[in-house]
Amino acid sequence: MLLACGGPRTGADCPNDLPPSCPQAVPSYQAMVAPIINLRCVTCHSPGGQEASRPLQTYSQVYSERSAVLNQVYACNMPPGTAAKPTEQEREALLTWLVCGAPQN
Amino acid sequence: MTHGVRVPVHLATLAFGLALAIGCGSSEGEGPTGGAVSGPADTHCAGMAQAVDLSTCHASVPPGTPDYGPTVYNAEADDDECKYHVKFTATPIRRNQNVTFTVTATTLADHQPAPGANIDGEVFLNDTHPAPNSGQQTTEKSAGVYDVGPIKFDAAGRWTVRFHLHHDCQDSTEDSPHGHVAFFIEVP
Repeated sequence: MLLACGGPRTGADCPNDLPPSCPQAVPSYQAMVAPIINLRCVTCHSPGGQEASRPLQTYSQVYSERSAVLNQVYACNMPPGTAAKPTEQEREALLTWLVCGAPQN
Repeated sequence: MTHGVRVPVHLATLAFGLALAIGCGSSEGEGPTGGAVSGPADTHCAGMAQAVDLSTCHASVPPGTPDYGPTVYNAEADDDECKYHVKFTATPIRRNQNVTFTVTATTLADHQPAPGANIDGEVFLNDTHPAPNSGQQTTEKSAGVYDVGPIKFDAAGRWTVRFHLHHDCQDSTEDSPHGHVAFFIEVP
């Protein structure tokens, strides 16, 4: 989901929905965020995928790429092209977790 | 004595009005502008050049972890993997105003313009603060010269603008056309 697999920036269609701050109820990585990443990102970001060099299979891998994940997901660059997009709820959970500093919770 | 008092009052009124006018106008195109941060010139490639192969754009790649290089000073540098030389200018950089970067890219292998690079600007203040979505688009004005924008900086501070060339290509094989270089941008 991070980089490549091909796909143009979606420009004006991308919402400005970044949470302004970290809420008290931080989405759980284990219960909420990891399943989203597994569903939306890991096909490319794992061995054998086009972005195998930037794997997102474990917490530590995701944490080390947290800034790029936030930038690319928020800008609607990822998931790219024709790949299935996260739902509004998935996007909100992922962005909120990243704005909260990507805790291992 | 009366005259002596009246003049300072008028001056104060004038100064207040002027300050108010400047203050009101500062969000609409006046006031100080930011830009690239001056510092040591980038020399990390030191004559090295990595040729790129456009056919590897969507190649299958082995596992690994490509790293970004350090963010660099000034307004030109070689990309992290010594594929391209990148330099830029920008329209006036002020907080909450649209900025367009004009980016010129040449290949380090032969010092020719790098056309078709489909540059994307990744813009962030820190790990939890990306630039707001502003409908960024890239237009290639002439071979290897790109307008990238609008980009909006919504806070003062030292931002990072990372230009990705061929951003839709994989970023793993040595000869992938995907290149990237990040610059510091100061926003007043």
